[in-house]
Amino acid sequence: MPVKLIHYWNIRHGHQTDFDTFFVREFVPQIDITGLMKIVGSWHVASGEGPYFIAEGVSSSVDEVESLIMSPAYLELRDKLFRLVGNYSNKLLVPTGRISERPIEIERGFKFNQHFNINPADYYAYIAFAENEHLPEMQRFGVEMVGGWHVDVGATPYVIFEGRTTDLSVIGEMLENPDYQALTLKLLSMVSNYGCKVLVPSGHINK
Amino acid sequence: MTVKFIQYYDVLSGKDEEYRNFISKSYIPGINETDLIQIVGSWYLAAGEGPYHIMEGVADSVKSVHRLLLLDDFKKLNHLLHFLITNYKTKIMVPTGTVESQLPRETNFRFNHHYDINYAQYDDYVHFIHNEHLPTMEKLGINMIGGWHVSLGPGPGIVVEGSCASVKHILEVIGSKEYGELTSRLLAMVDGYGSKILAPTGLVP
Repeated sequence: MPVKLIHYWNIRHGHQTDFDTFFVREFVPQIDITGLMKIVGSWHVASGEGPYFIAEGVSSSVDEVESLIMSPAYLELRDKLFRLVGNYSNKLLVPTGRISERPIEIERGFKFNQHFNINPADYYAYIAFAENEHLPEMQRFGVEMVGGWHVDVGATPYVIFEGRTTDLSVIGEMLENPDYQALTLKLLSMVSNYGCKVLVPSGHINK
Repeated sequence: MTVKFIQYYDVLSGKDEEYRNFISKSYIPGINETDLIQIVGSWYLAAGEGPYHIMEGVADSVKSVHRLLLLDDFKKLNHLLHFLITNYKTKIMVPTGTVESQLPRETNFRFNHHYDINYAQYDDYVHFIHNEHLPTMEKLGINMIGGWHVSLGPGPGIVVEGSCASVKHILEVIGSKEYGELTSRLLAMVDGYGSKILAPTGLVP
């Protein structure tokens, strides 16, 4: 079962160049070389709340993530990273099981992610809505739904859906579509703490 | 001096139809009749963090907003609103003076940025906003219609409002190299950066 470790941070003022060099030449390759995780994407939050920089790693299991984050090599990388970034946080995500698993590879294109908490009283209605309406409708709008995750460790909201397109205008057309608004209003009747982000490649690994 | 009174909230589950009726038939007309504030926008969040609904009012002074908040009629309207919503919060915003406030007459979508200025770089920031950020955003097709300090209410402390005829165009801007570079430069001078895309609910005529 693939799991995702998402890192969030802002680059410290005046450290952009040092960060770029460190991230591309040390952070990504040294994590990839452990074989415990592959860094599959680095993103800028084009619309939504910060932190502004998001890096995503995928492992085959929670055990592998645990092995990585306890390894001296990772701790050393993390210490170097912390000298260059602020507002750091991370989340460990496990699949909801409602979206087919994908091969572990670099993620390209643009992302439209929605996050929320399911109202406990509406849980079963939400499950039916997600399977029969939400995910099929998002695909119909042209947004390929590539990930559905629970936050296993980290801050809520604890459900994250990842959509992807190769063309940002598809997301733009969807956001203007009254059918999308109606779909979102229906989702909002079953969830709380809703938000969404538009992510564009940071240019470090997934140009 | 134009000021803005912004209300944020989520509509309670199952109350959407009742909410829309109340807002369009009672709440907005009731506030507008006071002549202290005009509700000029009702938005839903197309991209960004909630709350999902945003009501935008303008007044000629902070004093007018405070007079509204103390009116019994407003208190009654707001009391009724709270039966239909949750996660309510408000802000009063005053102009920064960097952008001449405008209210687009035609249907428009908003692309708003919010952040705190890193005051160690305040002079660089002001120069950058005047000479690079605002002109570049305009050149990219985003009409910059307001720059605000949050005078009362939760931060971040600066809100810069952009307007555009389509979300599709906003997304094109977001994907452009020029916008990416502009944002990277802005981020070197600010903290707590975020942005929202807002779409009209159709509740304000």
